[in-house]
Amino acid sequence: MTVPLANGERWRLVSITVRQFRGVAKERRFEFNGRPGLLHGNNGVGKSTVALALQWTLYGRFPEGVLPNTAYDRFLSPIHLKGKPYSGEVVLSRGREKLVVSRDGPTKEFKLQIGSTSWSGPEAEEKRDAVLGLDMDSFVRAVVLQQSRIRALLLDDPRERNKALDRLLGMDTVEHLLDVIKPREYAKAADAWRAKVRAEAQRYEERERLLAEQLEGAQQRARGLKFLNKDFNPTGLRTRYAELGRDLAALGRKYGLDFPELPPCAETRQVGAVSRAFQKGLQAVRLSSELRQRMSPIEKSIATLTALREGWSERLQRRDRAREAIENLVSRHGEEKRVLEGRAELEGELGDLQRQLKAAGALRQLLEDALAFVEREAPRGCPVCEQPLPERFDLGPRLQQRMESLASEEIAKLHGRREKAEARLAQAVEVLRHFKEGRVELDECQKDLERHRQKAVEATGGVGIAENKVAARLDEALAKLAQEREHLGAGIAAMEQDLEAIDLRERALREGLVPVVEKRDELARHEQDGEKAKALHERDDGRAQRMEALAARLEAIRKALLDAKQELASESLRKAGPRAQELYGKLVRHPVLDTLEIQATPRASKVDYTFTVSAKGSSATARDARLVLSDGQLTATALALFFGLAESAGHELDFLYVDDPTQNLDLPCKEAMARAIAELSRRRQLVVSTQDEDFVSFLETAGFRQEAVIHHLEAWDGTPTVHTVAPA
Amino acid sequence: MKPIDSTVTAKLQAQRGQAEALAIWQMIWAAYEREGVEGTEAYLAGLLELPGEGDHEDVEGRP
Amino acid sequence: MALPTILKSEVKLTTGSGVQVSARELEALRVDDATSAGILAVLFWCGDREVDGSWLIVDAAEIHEREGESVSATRSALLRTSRAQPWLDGLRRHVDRYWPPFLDAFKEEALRDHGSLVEELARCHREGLIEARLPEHRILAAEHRATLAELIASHGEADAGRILQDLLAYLLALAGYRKVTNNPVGVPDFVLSDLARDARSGSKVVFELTLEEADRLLRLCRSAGDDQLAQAVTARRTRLVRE
Repeated sequence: MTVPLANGERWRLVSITVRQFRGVAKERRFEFNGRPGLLHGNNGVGKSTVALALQWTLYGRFPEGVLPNTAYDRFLSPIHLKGKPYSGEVVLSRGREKLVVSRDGPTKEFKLQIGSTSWSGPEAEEKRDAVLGLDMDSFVRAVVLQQSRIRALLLDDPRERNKALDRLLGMDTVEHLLDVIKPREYAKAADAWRAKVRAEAQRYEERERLLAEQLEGAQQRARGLKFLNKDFNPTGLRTRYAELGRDLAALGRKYGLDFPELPPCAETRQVGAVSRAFQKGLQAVRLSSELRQRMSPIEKSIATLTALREGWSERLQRRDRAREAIENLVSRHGEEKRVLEGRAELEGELGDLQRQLKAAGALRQLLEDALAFVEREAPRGCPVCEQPLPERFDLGPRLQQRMESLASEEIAKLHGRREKAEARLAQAVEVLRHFKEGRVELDECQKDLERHRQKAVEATGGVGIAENKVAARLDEALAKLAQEREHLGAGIAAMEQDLEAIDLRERALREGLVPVVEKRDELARHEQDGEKAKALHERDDGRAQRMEALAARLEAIRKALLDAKQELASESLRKAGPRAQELYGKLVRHPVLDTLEIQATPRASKVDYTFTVSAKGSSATARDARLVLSDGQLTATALALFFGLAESAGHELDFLYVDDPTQNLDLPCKEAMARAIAELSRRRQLVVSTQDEDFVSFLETAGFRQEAVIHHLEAWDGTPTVHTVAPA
Repeated sequence: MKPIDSTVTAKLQAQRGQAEALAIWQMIWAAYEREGVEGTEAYLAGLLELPGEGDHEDVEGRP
Repeated sequence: MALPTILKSEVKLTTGSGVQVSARELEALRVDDATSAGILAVLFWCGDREVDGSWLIVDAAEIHEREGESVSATRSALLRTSRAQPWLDGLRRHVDRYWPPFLDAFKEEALRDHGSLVEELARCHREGLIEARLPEHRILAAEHRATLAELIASHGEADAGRILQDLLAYLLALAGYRKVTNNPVGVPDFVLSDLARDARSGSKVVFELTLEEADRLLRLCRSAGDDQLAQAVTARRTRLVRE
């Protein structure tokens, strides 16, 4: 068992235990006991697992960019046994004090124990930072020195080089903040607010100009309708409408009507109602004025009398036609009395003829019977007169002859006469019917005429008018009424003119003045909107000022950050300078340019780092190191700076973990590096990890191995096979 | 307080009229310590006011 | 509103961004007692819509520099000075409220000629007719600017300045001064004095009433036989209707 070195002031690494972690599938414990340490072996045997385990156990995470887009669990669990729980333990000691830090992957449990006191969780994290005096970023910067960060110092791109140095000097926080603190955004925001206000003000003014032009146009049109400037406002509108109302009322009174004045009209939204009231008033005058009232009965009378007059003419004509019809009958047929007498005669004649026909008929029948008898009986005596008939007297044919002559002559004659008489009688009857009808018609016409005459008498106000005077009376009355109507008509025409004139005035108000006041109202509303907008503009202006003030403050913060960066970086470089210079001399061994100067130089918006080498510090010989040193020399120079910074950093860890420091170095440089490390390890605990066997030999030569615990990682089958040699 | 914070604070305190800048710096730093760069960005974004972001108030009856 | 008992005034119309006040003019604005005031009243007409057409009023006592020297003052300096002089705020409010309708009421005379304007102003002031002449409707800012533009265009800056001087004198007198002394040639431009009793005292009780409430109050005053109070209510009511 090795005895830990006593230091008493700061913490040294005692051991790192790795369980199922990355390249260690099982468990491995790497003891250092406060001594220098060397981990060597080929690539892929698990050396970097130890460094990762150290960092992960202490801090639980890695700097940005170490594990991009990789889940920790998958990365940290053993390569050969995926899914197994991983954990780690780091033991540090400071004098007699022992600090045990343990972390469990799956449960995320983190514990810190110093002596018999333990902490866990966030409390443990805080305690760790307080005890060790550094956070993860500082640990990675000042305790674990990795090749990747050394290489970054040699990049061609000055921005990338500066970033690498920022990380090394712990100025990456400042850079992060400088990246996000952008005063220009706020200045642009202020400009945007002001532009908004200007645009809105411009829009407002444009609209105001448009409204003013429209108002001027409306006013011009109103002036054409004889309105004056003093009318072009709500007071003018009210006054004009009040005048109109008064004039309408006066017009009403002039024409015998009394109605209330128009409602007041001081706003354009009242115009509709006032206009309707006006039209109503106008209509009232038109329809109900005294003139109209007087005219109405006259026209009614005229209509009545005209109807009477026309009716009288018609009836007269009808009566006269009826008379004429009777006269025509008389002239054709004689007086009715005569026709009546004629009818009576005809009736008598018809009676005679009927009797004669009857007698003739009876005789014929007798003869027919006699003939039938004769034909049947062949009598010897005449059946008619019963006289004996002469011998061989053929009675039948004689009867036949007699019968036929009676039928064909007498009866026929009688029939003829009877037909004629009947015809004449029918004619007479017809004539008489016409007479009767004519009389009835005439009677009706006369009565109708009489009634009409009565109406005419009533209509004309007379007592009685002779038939032959009715037309004239009616005409006379009509003429008188027509005269009255004409007279009233003139008055009504004048009234219509008055109404037309006042209607035109109202229309002029509606079409001329109201649009002006409406446009004025629109302009007034626009001005009110402008007042509201002003308040909003003031608010926006306030925002612009706030953004400007913020921009100025952020600018001040940026400047303070840059100044702070320059100050802190310069301070770190100044502290690290002497040691870096010493190591530069030992590692680079330049025959001429033996002095290294690293400076943080402020520029307008950043801090530049300059690596300058010179001969004995003379400014005349000073050159940019990148231009005069080889890659190997530059690597050595970077390492010198690294060590210088690490050694000058103030924290409670007394060890450095150096990972693969000899990449890119030639043999003399490796030898010099081995000597430097050996020397450094006399002042503090150094743990070196390397696959460079030349370097391992140089370390032995430099005496490093004598005091160091050597872990040789010989093989790897999921877990490294480690051969450990500790000093006695 | 980290050296960055204290150094920047001291520089702002040393200047006249930067009390408000100092207050903002303290908020920036607190956000950075809590949530890193994202926290700081979020804080600074919260300070930025641009027109058109929920700014519509009725002036002409129009948004 | 508490008013100075005597108010001396120097009036300027300017199309520039500032004014000059001569030592002589400043001297004429000096007052001997704390209850009086000498004011500089400036009307800017410089193409800035926010500024043009309004009166900027400052107490001249605070713009004296060295004795015997004239003073130049920019608009922004005058504005700062006026903001630091709250004792004239009552006067300024009166002017801001009544200036557009006042100008509108006397626009025709002002455009016609100075002489008839002064006669009419004096007559209306003497007979207490000014308030009755004020339009009942609100004067638009555009109309106010148009009137001033017409006034300045038709008379020229110098004559327009004199016209505005007289208009301002009677506008301020409306606040409660019975006597107006104009000085067309000398300094100061005008002096207002003989302050009415109620305007002199600043101690008043202020009520806010709607038009209907004012009408009711009026009816109650009349029915109670308090004609004086009824008149006071009528006058305030008329002013309220105009506003």
